[in-house]
Amino acid sequence: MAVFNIQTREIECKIVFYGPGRGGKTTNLEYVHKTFKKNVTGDLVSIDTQGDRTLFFDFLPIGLGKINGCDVKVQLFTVPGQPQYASTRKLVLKGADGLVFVADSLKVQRKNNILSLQDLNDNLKSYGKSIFKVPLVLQYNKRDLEDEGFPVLSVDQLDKDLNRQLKVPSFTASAIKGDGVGKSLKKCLEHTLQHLQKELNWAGK
Amino acid sequence: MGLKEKIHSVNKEASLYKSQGMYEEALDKYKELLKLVSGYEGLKNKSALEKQINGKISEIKKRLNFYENEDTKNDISEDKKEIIKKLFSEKKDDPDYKKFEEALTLARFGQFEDAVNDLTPFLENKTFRYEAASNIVQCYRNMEKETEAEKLIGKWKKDGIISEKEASVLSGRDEQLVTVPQEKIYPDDMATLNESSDKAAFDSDSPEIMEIESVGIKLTGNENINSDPVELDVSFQTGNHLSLIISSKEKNIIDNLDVGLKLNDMCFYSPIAVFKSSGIVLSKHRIESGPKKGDWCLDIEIKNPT
Repeated sequence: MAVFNIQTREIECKIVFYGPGRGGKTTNLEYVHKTFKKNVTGDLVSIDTQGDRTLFFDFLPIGLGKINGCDVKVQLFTVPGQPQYASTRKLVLKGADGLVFVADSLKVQRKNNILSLQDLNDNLKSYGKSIFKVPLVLQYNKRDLEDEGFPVLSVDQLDKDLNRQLKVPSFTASAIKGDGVGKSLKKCLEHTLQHLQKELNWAGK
Repeated sequence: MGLKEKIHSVNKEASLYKSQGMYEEALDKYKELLKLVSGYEGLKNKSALEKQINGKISEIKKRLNFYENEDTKNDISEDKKEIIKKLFSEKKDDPDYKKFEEALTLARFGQFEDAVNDLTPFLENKTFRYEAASNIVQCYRNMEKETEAEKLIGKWKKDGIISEKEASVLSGRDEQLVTVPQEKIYPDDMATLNESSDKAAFDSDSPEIMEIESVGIKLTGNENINSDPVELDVSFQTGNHLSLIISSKEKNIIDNLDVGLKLNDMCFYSPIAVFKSSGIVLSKHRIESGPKKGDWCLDIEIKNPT
C-alpha cells in the first residue's frame, strides 16, 4: 500500500509483477535493473531461487525522481508463479498499488496464463480489491519465440483469453531482449500514480 | 511436414522448454520425440539417438523429482530473512509489537524455526505470552512436529505460563475459541501458516462443490445473539473454500466467528439448490484498503456437504 509522507513530500508505492511460472517476471526485473540504472536505487534481491525458479519473490527499489514536487519511490516485486506457492504469492501481492501481469506467449502456457489471472482475481478479492479497478497492464511476453518458429499464441488469442473483460492496456514483449519491458512498466506506473492521485491527492497537496 | 522435419521441430521445442525450466512440457516433448524416432524405419544411429533421448528424459524426471521433494523453504540466509522482515512486517511503533510482528512475518514465509526462536522470549511477556504460545504451537504443527508441540504445551502449563484452560485450547481439545483484544489478534496468521489450506484449493481431486451465492450461519456462542441464522453473501469461492465479507457494523457476528470455530448447521444457497453442512472458519482478517476497507473477510471451508 502506498505511503505518502506529506512533510517530506515523498510517496512510495508497490508494483507487483504477477503471472504464471516461467513466464519471465524475474527477467523483466533483471532487465529493469540492468537498463534503468539511473532509476535503480538498490540491489535486485532474489529471495530465494531454486535453480532459476523464484520461490519467494524478487525485489527491486527504483526512484522516479520528482513528479509535481513529490519524490516518487517505487518498490518492484515479482511473485513465485508456480501454483504450489499460493500462500507466498498472496503475501507478496498484499498492498500492491499496481500490477503488471506477465503472460507467456507460448501455446503450452495458455491454460497457466488463464489460471494465473484467475488466481490474481481471487487474491485481490481476498484483500477487498477488484481486478477491474486496480491499475493493471498485461504484458504478452516471449514474442521473440514466434520469429524462431516456436508455437506461440497470437496476440488476438491472448487478448481473447485474458483481456476480453478487463480491457486494460496490453503490450507485446520480449523480456530477454528488453522489448516492451519499459513500455509495460511505464504504463503501469502512469496508471498507478493517477490512481493514487485520486486516493491520496499526493501531487496536489 | 516430413518425419525428419517433424523430429527436428519436436526436438527444438523440447530443448526450448527444458532451457526455460518448463520441465513437464519438455518431458512430454521428449517422450513424443522418442516415439517418433523409434517409429522411424531405417534411421541412421537410431539406437544412439534413442539412448540420448532417454538420457534427457531421465535427467528431467530427476529434476522434477527434486522440485517436488526438496524442502526448499528452510534455507534462507540471515540477511535475506532481515529483508523479508523489513519488507513484509506491518510498521509498529512499539518495539515489542514490532519484534512480534517480524517473528510472525518469518512464519508466514515458512521460516518456522526462526519464528519459534523469536517468539519464545515473548512467553515471559504478560501482553504477548498467550499469542506467542499459540503461534509457536502453530509453527510446530506446520513443521509436522505435533508431539513436540504437545510437550511444550504441557511444560508451559506446568511452569504457569498458560492456564489449564488455555492449554486445553492450544491442544485443540476444547472447541471454545480464544478471544483476545482485537489489536492483539493476528487473524490471518493461522491461515497463512496453514499451507495445507492453500494446497487443498489447488487439489484437483477435491470433490467439486457447486457455486454458492450465500450461506446461513447459526451463531451459538453468544446468548445475546438472535438464534435465527445469519445470512452472508459469498464474495468468492475456490472449491470448498468460501470467502465472505462482513460489514464492520456487524460487530456481534465478527466477534463470534473466530478462527478455528466449527460451524455446525450451516445452510448453503446455490442458484440451483440449497444444502446443509458444517464448516470451519479458516481465517478472519480486516480489509485494509479499497472500498471495503474496515470490513472483515472471513474464509470458511465447507465440510462434508450433504
